[in-house]
Amino acid sequence: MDKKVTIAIVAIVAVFAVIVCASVLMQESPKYDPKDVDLSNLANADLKPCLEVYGNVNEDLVIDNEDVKALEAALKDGTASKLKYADANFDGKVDSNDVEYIKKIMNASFDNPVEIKHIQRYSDGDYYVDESKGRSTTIPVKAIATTASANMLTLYKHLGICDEIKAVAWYSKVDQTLLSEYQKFFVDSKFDIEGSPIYRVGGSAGYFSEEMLTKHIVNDGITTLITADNASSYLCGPSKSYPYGITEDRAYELGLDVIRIAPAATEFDNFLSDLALIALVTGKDLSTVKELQSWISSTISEINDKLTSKVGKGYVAQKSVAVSSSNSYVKSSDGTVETSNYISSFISDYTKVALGAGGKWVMQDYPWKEGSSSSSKYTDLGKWLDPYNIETIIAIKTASGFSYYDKEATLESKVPWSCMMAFSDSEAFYNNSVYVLSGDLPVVLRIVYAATILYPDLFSDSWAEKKHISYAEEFLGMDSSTIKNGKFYVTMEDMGLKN
Amino acid sequence: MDDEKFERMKAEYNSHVIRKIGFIILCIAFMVVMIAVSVNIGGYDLSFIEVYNTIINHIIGVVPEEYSKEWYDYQIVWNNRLPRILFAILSGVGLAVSGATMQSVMKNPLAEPYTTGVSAGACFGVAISMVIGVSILPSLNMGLEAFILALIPVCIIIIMSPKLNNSVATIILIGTALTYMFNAFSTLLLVTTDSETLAAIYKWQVGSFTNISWDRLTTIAIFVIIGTIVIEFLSHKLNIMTLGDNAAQSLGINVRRIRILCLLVMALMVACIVSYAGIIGFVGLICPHIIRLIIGSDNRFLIPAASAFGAAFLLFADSCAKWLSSLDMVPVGAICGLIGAPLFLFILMRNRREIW
Repeated sequence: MDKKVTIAIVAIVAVFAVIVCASVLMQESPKYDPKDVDLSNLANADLKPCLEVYGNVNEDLVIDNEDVKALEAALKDGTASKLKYADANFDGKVDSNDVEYIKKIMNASFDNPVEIKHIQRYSDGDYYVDESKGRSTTIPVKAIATTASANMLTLYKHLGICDEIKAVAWYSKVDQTLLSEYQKFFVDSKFDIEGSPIYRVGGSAGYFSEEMLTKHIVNDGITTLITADNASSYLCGPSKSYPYGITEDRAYELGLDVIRIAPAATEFDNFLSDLALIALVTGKDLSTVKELQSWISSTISEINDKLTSKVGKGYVAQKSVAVSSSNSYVKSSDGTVETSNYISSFISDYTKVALGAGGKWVMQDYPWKEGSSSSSKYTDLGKWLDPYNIETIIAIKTASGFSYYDKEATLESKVPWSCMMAFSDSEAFYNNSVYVLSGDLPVVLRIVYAATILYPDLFSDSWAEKKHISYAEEFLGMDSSTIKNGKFYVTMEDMGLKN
Repeated sequence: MDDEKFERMKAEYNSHVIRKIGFIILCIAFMVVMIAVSVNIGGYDLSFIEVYNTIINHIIGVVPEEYSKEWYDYQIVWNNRLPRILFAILSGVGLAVSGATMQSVMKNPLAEPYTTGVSAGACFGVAISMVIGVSILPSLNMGLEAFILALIPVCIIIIMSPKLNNSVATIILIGTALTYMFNAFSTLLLVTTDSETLAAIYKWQVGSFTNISWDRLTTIAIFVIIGTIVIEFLSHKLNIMTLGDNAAQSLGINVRRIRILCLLVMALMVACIVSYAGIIGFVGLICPHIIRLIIGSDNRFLIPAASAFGAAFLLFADSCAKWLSSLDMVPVGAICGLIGAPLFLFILMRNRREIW
């Protein structure tokens, strides 16, 4: 009996010892070395957007009585000149006239329009705000011409701006990838639908035809042109990408106020600040901006918390990632392949999506072109990526000719996916880790889906869908079935390219 | 030859001359009609009367109130449509005159302004400007690079041809070789660039008159008007040169000097046009042929007739392009080929006249 008890005790102790040793060994030898983890490029969740308009003395999202009080107090104690946006009437000095001007801005109406001076957001690849290039806009604005990227239209949708948009510059005809509410308006100018409130006035998103734009200035009273921050692509005039477009200066000569914003910025402070600016000039309610701030902040916090607590801490390894902005792959009948592909650089908004979702940037040593280059082209398939050990490639694609909101259409669209063969020699392709992510998604949702792609153990598909539904219902007026019927990232299996 | 026969020949010659002058007047009239039509075509809504009121008001000095409907009418008619029309006219004149000159100087029906490699050089200039970002004067965009690079092939021809027997065949072959060489340079640059830049360069290559302003017009006007006058002055000598180099030299013509002068003038005109409007094909090749089929190869009449017809033709093509797409999506170069080729074949079939 004693012997049996002894054996049992020894066995229990042995099992216990094995368990303890195993757990100790697992703890002492983490599967992944934390030193290799770099989460310094996660999106900022602590958002402090500011309406970058002179007169916004307290630097919140609105010009109101608080600004009047703040300026009056600052004038009393002699600190007014230190306030960044105190010179509301931009006459070069801060005084009681600015208080009156703030009141004017607050009471701006179509009968009493007021000119405001705001920050113009310019970027030329490496994103910066050039404060010396501030611009003026007369508010309120009731008729707008705009470039019509998906993100720009989403931004308008957030604020409920539709009737104000009288003219758009857009590359495609009716494009299925855009929000359905806008689709019906994208018609060729020669075939305007009678009574349709929006007309196409440019052959691409960056190019406005002077005659067509002027036509709608006269007919619809357009006073403001809103475009994106990339000044080398939008309203850049006859140079670089769009040799025949009008310039920003020409738009001013035609009597338009030009506002440049960053609708696709992963710096959500900038995005929300610009949203607040558009809300101010169109007289829209700011509540959406505040709600969006809260939603984005909590979602990014959730992603960041999970990533910082799990990635490289023995749970999951950090994935190295590269983002592709454009691809083509054509195989001729004699077997020769012509390919032309782009990998986005560190400064690209696309790359920031993947890094914001916890991806690791490993291409520091690649000789990126200096200055304005946000991507680099290669034509020798994926071999040149070999030295960088890129485990995952995410191609962010817009305007593929179908809607990501239609799952069946997305899965049936084999042609757009064949271009992913451009990565067929890469490590990511061998690992079945090349993905296509919908570029029509709002940027925060791009990060959500990118997190799902990179770390499926931490962020499930159902979590991403739940987030998407929440966003779409709250801010885009869509119902859950619209999202459930969609397919917003495509795997190699979906593309029929799985090894 | 008796007096009666002489008088009959003289009357016949005069009748020929009158018919040729009549045809030139007809071409000019066609051009004027096209101006009248073209100024009414565009995306901005303007009635026939509004268009002419705007022009007349501007001429008599009536200044519309800023940002009024009349002010926008003025912006479109005076600052948008008229410069474009005048640019099309000047381009048509420059290209047609250059084409006629090249064909006469080279004694070759396939010669055209771009045979010398002007377009390939200009294209390389644009590729350098857009792909590498090198710009001689950034404010002029890629115009100056295209202009300078367009002149380089012609300069090489002028330098090389005396060392290679000066024959027209040599000049054409050097031009063809340089075209290939500059095209190869451009291709090397283009394969390394992004799709947007590639698309932009392609758009430039097919040619367009969009966004032509008055200040750009001045430069091209100087080059084309002076160039056309110089060529017209040389037209008599060009006629003699068609007899062959030896015969022309025996009649006191310095063939080499005239050829180089013509090449230089043609290159300056075409380089200027191409650097602003892109490569507008067909006009320089076919317009002179159409005129030859109708009034013959006498350069004294061919040059002015080709210039008027080239201008009217290009204006007609641009009007069609504007009418088809008010967003300027249809390149004028494509329309030139679409309209011009069937027209040329029709005249060729109908006339059956040997012009070479």
